[in-house]
Amino acid sequence: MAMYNEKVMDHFMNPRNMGEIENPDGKGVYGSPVCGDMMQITIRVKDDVITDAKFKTFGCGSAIASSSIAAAMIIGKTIDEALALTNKQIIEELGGLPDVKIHCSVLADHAIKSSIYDYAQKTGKTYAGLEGFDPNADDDDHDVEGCHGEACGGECEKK
Amino acid sequence: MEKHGYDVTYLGIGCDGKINLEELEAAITDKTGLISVMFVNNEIGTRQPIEEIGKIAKKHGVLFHTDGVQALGNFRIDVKEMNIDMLSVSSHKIYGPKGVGALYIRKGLRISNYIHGGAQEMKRRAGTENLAGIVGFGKAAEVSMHNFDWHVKHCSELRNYLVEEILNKIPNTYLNAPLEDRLPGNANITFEFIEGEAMLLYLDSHGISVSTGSACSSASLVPSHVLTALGVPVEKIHGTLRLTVGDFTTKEDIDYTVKALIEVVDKLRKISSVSEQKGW
Repeated sequence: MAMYNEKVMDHFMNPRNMGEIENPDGKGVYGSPVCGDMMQITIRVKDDVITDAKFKTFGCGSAIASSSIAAAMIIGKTIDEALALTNKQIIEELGGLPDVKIHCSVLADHAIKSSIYDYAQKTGKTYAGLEGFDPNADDDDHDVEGCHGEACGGECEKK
Repeated sequence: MEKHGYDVTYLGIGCDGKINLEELEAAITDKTGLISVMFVNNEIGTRQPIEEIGKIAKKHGVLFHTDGVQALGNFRIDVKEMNIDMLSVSSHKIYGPKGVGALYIRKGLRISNYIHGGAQEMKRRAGTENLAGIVGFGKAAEVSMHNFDWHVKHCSELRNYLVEEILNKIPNTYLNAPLEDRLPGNANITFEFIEGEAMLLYLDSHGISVSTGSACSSASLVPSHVLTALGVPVEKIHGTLRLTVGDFTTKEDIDYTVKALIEVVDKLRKISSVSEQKGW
């Protein structure tokens, strides 16, 4: 299968941080089975540092790889650092994704922000990086680099 | 056809995968020039009611073309009896060389030349014929006729065994479209709570090749239009695989595949954010 590079295949075949944190400090879910990609990120936070993150994903090879690497990337980061993470950085860390799969990195990015949003809601804390963030927005995807709405064939808008 | 300015009427399918004959007949107008219905669908393997369509076409004086690529070697085809005016077939589906096909055209019917240049193929299609391919196709057709009954029995039995094993051993799976009137080697199965391209990649690492109706595996990112027409919910289309068996498939291959599938499905269900307990 020539579509994915070695690193993507590795994260797909041997996903890291797969699972669900019990009684997580933050939980974010993004995407939907209708679109074909749905990611769940759970985090453990201590002193504003993400000490643990786990993912569960319904999706294709790049969706699983993106969420696996994204979860790995935020562990040990402060909340602000994790919020600054972009889908472009996820793609870079993976060594690249095919054009048609870029939206998977966008989903992973959004799922992480959603988990932090949930944490912020639970603790009453505020973070600059969450300003204007809407965990339920479908439109966000379509404005982010690499995804212009045609990725899902508009499926999310048909719901 | 639409790009060339023709009006095209599309027919839907029922949950049995077949077109509705009343709908077909009602759609015919005095402007209708051609009816084209595939003999057998390549994704779900459903055989269409070709004889009845042929009768309707003849009754209304409309030309009837059928794509018989999947049908050749699997179902009996009698162009005269079935009132088929044109039939497309391909060599590779009957184990002949790839890159060669044929269009049967009823005697007395003429088509316009669509590739211009030399006078090959009675001036209908310019270009030097793929002689080696054509000879190979001819031999494949001869062998296919000879093996017909054995092939149908061998493929049906192994396919039925595959389906039974999967449905019995892996929970939350189901077959799309009935086994009756189906391509002997075709199985199309939905595996709930997981996605097709992921399954495809894992199975590939086991040396098993399948295809999927999932949107994520197509360049257009649109899920299978066939499964959509069949009424399968979108999220389940993403988790659908087409598995086919052929003359060279053995029972051991099936057992190996089922064992791999059990492992792959289990792994992906553990990774998945949806499940039987959680729901969709």
